[in-house]
Amino acid sequence: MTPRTRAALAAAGVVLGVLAASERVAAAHTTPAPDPRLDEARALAAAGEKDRAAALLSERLSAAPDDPAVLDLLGQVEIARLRPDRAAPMFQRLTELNPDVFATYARLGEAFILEGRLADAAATYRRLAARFPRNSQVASALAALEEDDARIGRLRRTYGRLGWAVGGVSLFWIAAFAFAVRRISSPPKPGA
Amino acid sequence: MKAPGVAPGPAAFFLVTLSAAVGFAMMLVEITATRLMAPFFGTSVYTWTNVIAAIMAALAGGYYLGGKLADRWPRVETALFVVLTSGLLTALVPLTAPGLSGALSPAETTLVSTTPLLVRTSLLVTLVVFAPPVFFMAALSPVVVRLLCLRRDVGWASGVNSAAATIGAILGTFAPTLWLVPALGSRKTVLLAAALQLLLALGGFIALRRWRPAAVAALGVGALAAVGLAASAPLRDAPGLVEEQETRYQYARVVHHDSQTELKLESEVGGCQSLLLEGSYLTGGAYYDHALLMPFFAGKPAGAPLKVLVIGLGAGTVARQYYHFWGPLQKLTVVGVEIDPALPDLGRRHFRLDESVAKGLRVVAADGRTFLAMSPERFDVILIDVFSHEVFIPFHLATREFFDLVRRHLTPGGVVGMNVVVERFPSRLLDALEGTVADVFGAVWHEKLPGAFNVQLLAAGDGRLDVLGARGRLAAYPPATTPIAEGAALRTLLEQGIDQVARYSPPPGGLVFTDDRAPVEKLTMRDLERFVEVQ
Repeated sequence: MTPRTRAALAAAGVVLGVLAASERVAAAHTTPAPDPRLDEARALAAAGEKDRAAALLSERLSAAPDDPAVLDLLGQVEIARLRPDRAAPMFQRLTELNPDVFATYARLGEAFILEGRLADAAATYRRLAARFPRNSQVASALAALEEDDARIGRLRRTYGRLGWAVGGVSLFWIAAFAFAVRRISSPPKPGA
Repeated sequence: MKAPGVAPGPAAFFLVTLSAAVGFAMMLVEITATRLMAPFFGTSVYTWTNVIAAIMAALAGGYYLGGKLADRWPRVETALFVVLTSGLLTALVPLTAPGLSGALSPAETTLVSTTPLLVRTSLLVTLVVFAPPVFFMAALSPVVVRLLCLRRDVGWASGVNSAAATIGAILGTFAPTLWLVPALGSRKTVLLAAALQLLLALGGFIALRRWRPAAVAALGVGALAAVGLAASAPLRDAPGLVEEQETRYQYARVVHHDSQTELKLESEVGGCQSLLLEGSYLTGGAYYDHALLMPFFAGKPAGAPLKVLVIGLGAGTVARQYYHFWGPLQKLTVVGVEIDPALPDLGRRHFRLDESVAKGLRVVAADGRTFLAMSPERFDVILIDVFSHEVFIPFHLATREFFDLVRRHLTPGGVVGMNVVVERFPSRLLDALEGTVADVFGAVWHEKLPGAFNVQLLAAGDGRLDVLGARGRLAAYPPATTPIAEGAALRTLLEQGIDQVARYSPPPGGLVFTDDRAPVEKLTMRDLERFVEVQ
């Protein structure tokens, strides 16, 4: 892993860690509307049975496609299942439904990083930085991501150039070899 | 054209000796090639493939050209000029290989995902630096055969030459691995190969009274002596370099920066294999910290024996942590298996491994699989943290047969954890690994480490991982009766980790690694290439 990507991911992790702690506190002081199916999904997720939790939440989502609580929980479960490709659409939909929730952008950014979509992650963090300009963690995560994205771009170009270099050197050796063989094969001069 | 040939006797003996010496030098160069490039490009199977393929191409070309040379100038001088040229080109290798490798290793090599790039770069360096001397070494053989067979039968000449060259090559295969590289280092080993060729050429030219080429050979030998004395600078200098070592298995270096000491192997820049943070037993949420989660799943009662096996001990980061965080609570025994004995030695010097040894750590120098096959011991926790060539898990430590061995070494209630590094999800490598573990244990879980691309695979000997029970035990850690420094910090960290634990359901018909078919490196490389392509 690149130090920079690690920094970005770690920054995202810190952001999410703070969020998780604050959510635990919030959960302890609020009484959400009872939702036995969500509770069941949460219990399954806590027991490590995230496949079953995802199935339950997907079923619930088909009945209520824009339920923010389901979208958020399902997105988090998919991240834990190492399926950021499935999590990203959940968080994207959440940002459309409620563009002012900090956590959603942070989670969307993490999903993009895990999927390897650094440019999309940087775009997400840019939106987050625009909405929360005083958050230094977001700014540092964004800077790290942008630098990583630029590095990867240079890497791809170098990758292509190296292919040409290998081909060029190979052709050079083949030409030198053919030249040497031809010179050696020519008949010796009289008296040599 | 009638050629003078070589009569049986000292000249023929000299030519056969020349063949043997060049065969010896050829293998020294080939084997040392990967070691010289390792600090920059690693030594993955792909790097090896590049070296072997490029050298085989040079051999083919050299044999052909040697045949032409032999027909055109069937003289002993021809053989000597060929050896002089290959000797001089070999002498350049220790200078050009690190220089060119360093120049072609841009800042992007800080990315593990540059592995595909490094593969191409290593091919380029092999073609430019290592192929030319090997080309001329190969050219010697037809010349020697031609000279010998003018006075003897072709079959005899060809057979004697091939046998001598092959015996030299056998010695050249063993010598660098077992003796030369550990004793002299890669650069001096290659210089030795060059010196051998140049000295033989020098002797031959003197015997023939060819003073001008003899002077060139003598100058070459003199230059080699000077370069050899200077070849003590680090192979790959880096800020904070504390110690570097060419072990029998790999290039290892210890780097210190920002109050932390890291053990890095091969071309590794971004990651590390062992880590020590000054004033702390934790490692900032790295994999090692999360390896401490496993005993919560094993659920051993307080004070009960807890036997832990670490496959891939490195410099002993995890062992040190286990003795600190679990030692006061359990009758702890840690067995650390490490294939490269040089790494625990580095651990003693730079990672406080002696503290763990004093507390009971048993260090075993062995391959992890061999150890399991030979050992009758059973363990409550088995941790697998094995990487060869930075990112590649050795295939024989990823197969159904290996995990079956692991399962048979678990106590009832025992658990296993395996560190995997994945650059992009979903990952076919991870899918196959999880499918393999599930095939053996009946079920597999994974923990995505927060803020990292590491994934810890988890399985239990009885197929049931008690996640809720582990949560409960974690919540009570550390017990009020036994204060443990940084215990609360560890609990907070592991609570974030256990939130990420997820059971994995392998797709039906998915790939299961076996000893017969385990394309671990191919899948790793494909994941890394996709990471670059997706940008």
